[in-house]
Amino acid sequence: MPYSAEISRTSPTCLLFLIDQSTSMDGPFGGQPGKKKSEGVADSINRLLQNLVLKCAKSDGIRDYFHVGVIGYGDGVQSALGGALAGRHLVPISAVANNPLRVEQRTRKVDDGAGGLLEQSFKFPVWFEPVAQGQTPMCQALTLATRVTQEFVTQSPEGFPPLVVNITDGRASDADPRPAAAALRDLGTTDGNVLLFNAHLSSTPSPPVVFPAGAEELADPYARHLFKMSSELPTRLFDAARADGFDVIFGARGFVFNADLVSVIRFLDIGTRVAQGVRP
Amino acid sequence: MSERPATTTWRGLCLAKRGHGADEYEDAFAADPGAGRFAVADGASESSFAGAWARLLVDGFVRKQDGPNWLAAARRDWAAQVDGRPLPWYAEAKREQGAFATFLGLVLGRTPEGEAVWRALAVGDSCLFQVSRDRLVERFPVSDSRAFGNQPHLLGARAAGAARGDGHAERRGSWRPGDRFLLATDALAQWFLSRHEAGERPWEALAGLGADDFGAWVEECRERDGLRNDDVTLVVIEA
Repeated sequence: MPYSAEISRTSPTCLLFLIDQSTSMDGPFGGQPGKKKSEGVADSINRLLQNLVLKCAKSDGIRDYFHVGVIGYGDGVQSALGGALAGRHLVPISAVANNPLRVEQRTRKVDDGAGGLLEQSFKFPVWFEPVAQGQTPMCQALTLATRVTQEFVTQSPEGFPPLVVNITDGRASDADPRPAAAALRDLGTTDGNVLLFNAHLSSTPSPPVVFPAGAEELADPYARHLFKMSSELPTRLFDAARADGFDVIFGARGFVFNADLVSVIRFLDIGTRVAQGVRP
Repeated sequence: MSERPATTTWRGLCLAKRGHGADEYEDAFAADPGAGRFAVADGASESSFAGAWARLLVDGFVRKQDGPNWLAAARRDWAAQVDGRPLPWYAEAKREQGAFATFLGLVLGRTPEGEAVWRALAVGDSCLFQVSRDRLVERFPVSDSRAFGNQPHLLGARAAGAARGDGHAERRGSWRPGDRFLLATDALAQWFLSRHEAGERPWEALAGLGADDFGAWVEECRERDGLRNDDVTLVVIEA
C-alpha cells in the first residue's frame, strides 16, 4: 500500500511549510475576528512546529523523525526560519526544537480534577512572527519547494514521501500556481508522490471547511483553485482523520478553509499515539 | 481466589524495535511466580518517560498485595522520578502530559476448593493467550489480528490526564496443569493472532525460544513473516 513506509530516525520524512507573507495578509482573518491573517498564519505555523516537536520529544531528547523547512513568500522567497536556523531550507526537527526565536511563559486554566479550575503556566515557543509585506509569489515558492523536496527524495528514495503544507490567502501574484503545484506533486518516492496540502485563510468570515471531497461548497474562487491543487488524503491519513472524528468522505483532499492543519501532524504515524488515555 | 503460589515456570523475552538501541526499549515485563503474578506493559512511543512508566506498572502489579492502590503508588513513583528536574520546554510539556502505556496483568491461583483459576486485567492491546492441550482456548483482550491500531487504550501516569474514558477489561478463567500462558505486547500479539487465523499453531514456534535465539527469531519474523517493527516482549508461563 502506498504511503505506508515507516517514518523513523533512519528513514525520516520531510515536512515543508510555505507561508504567504504578502501585504494582503495584513487584512482581517475571517476565521478569528480581531486577528489579521498574518497573525493567524504565525499562530498556525508556531502551533504546527510545536506539535511536531512534541510528537518527537522523548525523555532523552528529540528523535529526528522529520526534516522540516519553512519557506516564506512575499517580499522575496526564502527560508523563514530565524536565529541559528536562518537561511536553511531543511533542518532536523531537533534543531527546530532547540532553536525557537524565544520561549514565552503563558498561563492557561485547567481542570483541577475536583470540579474547579487551576491556573497552570506553560512555555510557548515562537519561531515565526507575523509578516505582511510584498506580492504573493506562490509559483516561485512552489518551485523552490520542488527543488528542496527533489533533493530530499533523491537521498531518501524509498521513504515516506515529503508533505508540503501551503498556508495562504490564496491570491498568487506571479502566475497561475496550478502547473507549479502539479510539478511538485509529480515528485515522489517508491512509497508515493509528494503530498501538497493547502490551508486557505480568508478575510471572508465564512464557516471553516475541513478536508472536503469537492469544490462545490467553496464560494471563493481562490479556494477552489487551492482545493484543486491539493492532494487527496492517502488511505492511512484518511483513516486517521476518521478516527480523530473528522467527517471525511471518499475523495477528501488535504485542504482547509479558514481553519488550520495542525490535525495533520497527529495523522502522521510514528508509533503509539496518546489521544485516548484512560484510567481503569 | 486465593493468591497461593501456583507451581509454574516462566521466562520473559524482549527485543527493542529495529533501529533503536536497547536503552530505548519501552516495554517492560515482570513476574512473581511464587505469587502467580505476571505482567507486561508497552510504553507509548509518542509519550515521554514511557519506559519508566511501563516498568513501574509491571513491578507494581506483581508486587501488589491486596487493595487497589498499586496504580496510585505507581503514579506517585513515576512523578517522584521525573518531576522537579530542569528540562527543555518540550520535555517539560511532555512530562506534564504524563507517560502512557498499555498493560496486561495475569494472576494464577487456586480457589479454597483447590480449583485452578486465573484472572487478568488489560488496558489496551497487550495480550494474553492461553493454550491448553495444543489448542488456543483464550485470547484477551484482543481476539482479531485486524483490531490492532496506533490508538489503543492507555494507562496514564498522571491521573488527571488519564481520565478520558475507561478502557480497562477484566477476564477470569480456569486452567489445568500443563497449560501454557503467553503474554505479549502488541506487535507479537498481532503476529500470533494472524498466524492462528491462518490455521497455524504459533505457540509452537514460541515455545522453543530462549534468551539466546529470541532476537534472531524476531528479526527473521520481521523480515519474512509480517511481524511489525516495534518493541517486542513475550512472557511464557508453563502452569
